[in-house]
Amino acid sequence: MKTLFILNNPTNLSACLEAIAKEDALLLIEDAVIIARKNIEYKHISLFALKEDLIARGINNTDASWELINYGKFVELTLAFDKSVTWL
Amino acid sequence: MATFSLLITANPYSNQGQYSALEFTKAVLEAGHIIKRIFFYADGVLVANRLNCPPADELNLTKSWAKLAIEKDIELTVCVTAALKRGIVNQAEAERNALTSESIDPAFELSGLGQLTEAMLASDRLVTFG
Repeated sequence: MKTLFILNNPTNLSACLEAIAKEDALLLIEDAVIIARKNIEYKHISLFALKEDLIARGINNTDASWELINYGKFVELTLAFDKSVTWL
Repeated sequence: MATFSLLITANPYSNQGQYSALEFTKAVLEAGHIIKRIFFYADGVLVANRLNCPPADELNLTKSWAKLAIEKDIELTVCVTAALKRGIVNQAEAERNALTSESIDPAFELSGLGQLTEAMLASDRLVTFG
Protein backbone atom coordinates (compact mmCIF):
# COMPACT_ATOMS: atom_id res chain seq x y z
CA MET A 1 0.00 0.00 0.00
CA LYS A 2 1.74 3.13 -1.27
CA THR A 3 0.78 6.28 0.59
CA LEU A 4 1.15 9.94 -0.34
CA PHE A 5 1.83 11.96 2.79
CA ILE A 6 0.70 15.59 2.54
CA LEU A 7 2.34 17.92 5.05
CA ASN A 8 1.18 21.52 5.58
CA ASN A 9 2.95 22.42 8.83
CA PRO A 10 6.78 22.34 8.97
CA THR A 11 6.85 21.65 12.73
CA ASN A 12 5.23 18.25 12.14
CA LEU A 13 7.96 16.93 9.83
CA SER A 14 9.76 14.55 12.20
CA ALA A 15 6.56 12.87 13.39
CA CYS A 16 5.38 12.55 9.78
CA LEU A 17 8.66 10.97 8.65
CA GLU A 18 8.40 8.32 11.36
CA ALA A 19 5.21 7.09 9.71
CA ILE A 20 6.63 7.04 6.17
CA ALA A 21 7.72 3.79 4.55
CA LYS A 22 10.14 3.26 1.67
CA GLU A 23 7.60 3.20 -1.17
CA ASP A 24 5.70 6.27 0.11
CA ALA A 25 6.12 9.89 -0.93
CA LEU A 26 6.02 13.24 0.83
CA LEU A 27 4.32 16.32 -0.61
CA LEU A 28 4.88 19.69 1.04
CA ILE A 29 2.10 22.29 0.79
CA GLU A 30 1.29 25.60 2.49
CA ASP A 31 3.76 26.59 5.26
CA ALA A 32 5.54 23.22 5.06
CA VAL A 33 7.13 24.16 1.70
CA ILE A 34 9.88 25.91 3.68
CA ILE A 35 11.33 22.42 4.31
CA ALA A 36 12.17 22.13 0.60
CA ARG A 37 15.19 24.41 1.04
CA LYS A 38 17.07 21.40 2.45
CA ASN A 39 17.79 17.83 1.39
CA ILE A 40 16.15 15.68 4.07
CA GLU A 41 17.51 12.38 2.58
CA TYR A 42 15.02 9.98 4.10
CA LYS A 43 14.59 6.30 3.12
CA HIS A 44 14.94 7.35 -0.56
CA ILE A 45 11.27 8.38 -0.61
CA SER A 46 10.07 10.64 -3.44
CA LEU A 47 9.91 14.29 -2.40
CA PHE A 48 7.52 16.87 -3.84
CA ALA A 49 6.70 20.49 -3.02
CA LEU A 50 3.84 22.65 -4.31
CA LYS A 51 5.35 25.36 -6.51
CA GLU A 52 2.52 27.87 -6.03
CA ASP A 53 3.02 27.86 -2.25
CA LEU A 54 6.80 28.29 -2.67
CA ILE A 55 6.27 31.31 -4.93
CA ALA A 56 3.74 32.79 -2.49
CA ARG A 57 6.44 32.67 0.20
CA GLY A 58 9.27 33.98 -1.97
CA ILE A 59 11.25 30.74 -1.69
CA ASN A 60 13.34 30.18 -4.82
CA ASN A 61 16.33 28.31 -3.39
CA THR A 62 14.90 24.80 -3.08
CA ASP A 63 17.17 21.77 -2.89
CA ALA A 64 17.38 19.70 -6.10
CA SER A 65 16.09 16.62 -4.22
CA TRP A 66 12.57 18.13 -4.27
CA GLU A 67 10.40 17.97 -7.38
CA LEU A 68 8.35 21.15 -7.69
CA ILE A 69 4.78 20.49 -8.86
CA ASN A 70 1.55 22.33 -9.68
CA TYR A 71 -2.01 21.49 -8.60
CA GLY A 72 -2.54 19.35 -11.71
CA LYS A 73 0.39 17.12 -10.73
CA PHE A 74 -0.89 17.13 -7.12
CA VAL A 75 -4.13 15.56 -8.41
CA GLU A 76 -2.12 13.01 -10.45
CA LEU A 77 -0.05 12.09 -7.39
CA THR A 78 -3.14 11.33 -5.31
CA LEU A 79 -4.16 8.87 -8.03
CA ALA A 80 -0.66 7.39 -8.44
CA PHE A 81 -0.66 6.37 -4.76
CA ASP A 82 -3.18 4.04 -3.12
CA LYS A 83 -4.24 6.69 -0.62
CA SER A 84 -3.24 10.03 0.78
CA VAL A 85 -2.68 10.97 4.40
CA THR A 86 -2.79 14.64 5.33
CA TRP A 87 -0.53 14.95 8.35
CA LEU A 88 -2.21 17.59 10.56
CA MET B 1 -11.61 9.35 -14.98
CA ALA B 2 -11.62 9.07 -11.20
CA THR B 3 -14.00 10.13 -8.44
CA PHE B 4 -12.74 12.35 -5.62
CA SER B 5 -14.17 13.52 -2.32
CA LEU B 6 -12.63 16.11 -0.05
CA LEU B 7 -12.68 16.46 3.73
CA ILE B 8 -12.03 20.02 4.86
CA THR B 9 -11.35 20.82 8.52
CA ALA B 10 -9.35 24.04 7.99
CA ASN B 11 -10.58 27.22 9.63
CA PRO B 12 -11.19 29.65 6.74
CA TYR B 13 -9.44 32.56 8.45
CA SER B 14 -6.59 30.86 10.36
CA ASN B 15 -4.66 29.03 7.65
CA GLN B 16 -4.54 28.26 3.97
CA GLY B 17 -6.39 24.92 3.90
CA GLN B 18 -9.67 26.16 2.43
CA TYR B 19 -7.85 27.92 -0.40
CA SER B 20 -5.69 24.85 -1.09
CA ALA B 21 -8.84 22.71 -1.19
CA LEU B 22 -10.51 25.14 -3.59
CA GLU B 23 -7.51 25.07 -5.96
CA PHE B 24 -7.27 21.28 -5.69
CA THR B 25 -10.97 20.96 -6.55
CA LYS B 26 -10.50 23.14 -9.65
CA ALA B 27 -7.52 21.01 -10.73
CA VAL B 28 -9.53 17.80 -10.27
CA LEU B 29 -12.29 19.16 -12.51
CA GLU B 30 -9.83 20.53 -15.09
CA ALA B 31 -8.28 17.06 -15.37
CA GLY B 32 -11.73 15.67 -16.23
CA HIS B 33 -12.32 13.85 -12.95
CA ILE B 34 -15.46 13.91 -10.82
CA ILE B 35 -16.00 15.49 -7.40
CA LYS B 36 -18.47 13.30 -5.51
CA ARG B 37 -18.77 15.45 -2.39
CA ILE B 38 -16.95 18.08 -0.38
CA PHE B 39 -17.45 17.52 3.33
CA PHE B 40 -16.84 20.35 5.80
CA TYR B 41 -16.05 19.32 9.36
CA ALA B 42 -14.73 20.90 12.61
CA ASP B 43 -13.71 24.57 12.04
CA GLY B 44 -14.03 23.96 8.29
CA VAL B 45 -17.80 24.45 8.64
CA LEU B 46 -17.27 28.16 9.37
CA VAL B 47 -16.93 28.82 5.65
CA ALA B 48 -20.63 27.93 5.17
CA ASN B 49 -21.81 30.99 7.12
CA ARG B 50 -23.58 33.30 4.65
CA LEU B 51 -23.06 36.21 7.08
CA ASN B 52 -19.25 36.08 6.65
CA CYS B 53 -18.07 39.52 5.52
CA PRO B 54 -14.35 39.38 4.72
CA PRO B 55 -12.72 42.64 3.51
CA ALA B 56 -13.40 43.40 -0.16
CA ASP B 57 -9.71 42.96 -1.09
CA GLU B 58 -9.58 39.41 0.35
CA LEU B 59 -10.81 36.24 -1.30
CA ASN B 60 -14.37 35.49 -0.20
CA LEU B 61 -14.13 31.73 0.37
CA THR B 62 -17.86 31.31 1.06
CA LYS B 63 -18.75 32.88 -2.29
CA SER B 64 -15.91 31.03 -4.06
CA TRP B 65 -17.20 27.65 -2.89
CA ALA B 66 -20.81 28.60 -3.65
CA LYS B 67 -19.92 29.75 -7.18
CA LEU B 68 -17.95 26.59 -7.92
CA ALA B 69 -20.72 24.39 -6.50
CA ILE B 70 -23.40 26.03 -8.62
CA GLU B 71 -21.32 26.11 -11.82
CA LYS B 72 -20.04 22.54 -11.53
CA ASP B 73 -22.97 20.99 -9.63
CA ILE B 74 -20.90 19.94 -6.62
CA GLU B 75 -22.33 18.82 -3.27
CA LEU B 76 -21.08 20.95 -0.38
CA THR B 77 -22.01 19.03 2.76
CA VAL B 78 -21.59 20.49 6.23
CA CYS B 79 -21.49 18.40 9.41
CA VAL B 80 -24.65 19.43 11.28
CA THR B 81 -23.21 18.91 14.78
CA ALA B 82 -20.06 20.94 14.06
CA ALA B 83 -22.19 23.61 12.34
CA LEU B 84 -24.80 24.05 15.08
CA LYS B 85 -22.07 24.54 17.69
CA ARG B 86 -20.71 27.39 15.56
CA GLY B 87 -24.01 29.14 14.79
CA ILE B 88 -24.41 27.80 11.27
CA VAL B 89 -28.05 26.76 10.94
CA ASN B 90 -30.64 26.25 8.23
CA GLN B 91 -34.30 27.28 8.56
CA ALA B 92 -35.37 24.00 10.18
CA GLU B 93 -32.57 24.08 12.77
CA ALA B 94 -33.18 27.78 13.46
CA GLU B 95 -36.83 27.04 14.26
CA ARG B 96 -35.98 23.95 16.30
CA ASN B 97 -33.50 25.96 18.39
CA ALA B 98 -35.67 29.12 18.61
CA LEU B 99 -33.13 31.27 16.72
CA THR B 100 -34.06 34.48 14.92
CA SER B 101 -32.72 33.44 11.52
CA GLU B 102 -30.92 30.83 9.48
CA SER B 103 -27.26 31.52 8.65
CA ILE B 104 -26.12 28.88 6.19
CA ASP B 105 -25.26 29.87 2.63
CA PRO B 106 -27.81 28.21 0.31
CA ALA B 107 -25.04 26.47 -1.69
CA PHE B 108 -24.19 24.38 1.41
CA GLU B 109 -26.27 21.63 2.98
CA LEU B 110 -26.36 20.41 6.58
CA SER B 111 -26.01 16.67 7.00
CA GLY B 112 -24.44 13.99 9.19
CA LEU B 113 -21.10 12.19 9.33
CA GLY B 114 -22.73 9.29 7.49
CA GLN B 115 -22.39 11.41 4.36
CA LEU B 116 -18.61 11.46 4.85
CA THR B 117 -18.49 7.68 5.17
CA GLU B 118 -20.68 7.28 2.10
CA ALA B 119 -18.45 9.67 0.13
CA MET B 120 -15.36 7.66 1.12
CA LEU B 121 -16.99 4.43 -0.05
CA ALA B 122 -18.24 5.93 -3.31
CA SER B 123 -14.99 7.74 -4.26
CA ASP B 124 -11.65 6.49 -5.58
CA ARG B 125 -9.79 9.00 -3.40
CA LEU B 126 -10.50 11.07 -0.30
CA VAL B 127 -8.13 14.01 0.19
CA THR B 128 -8.09 15.96 3.47
CA PHE B 129 -7.29 19.64 3.89
CA GLY B 130 -6.87 20.88 7.44
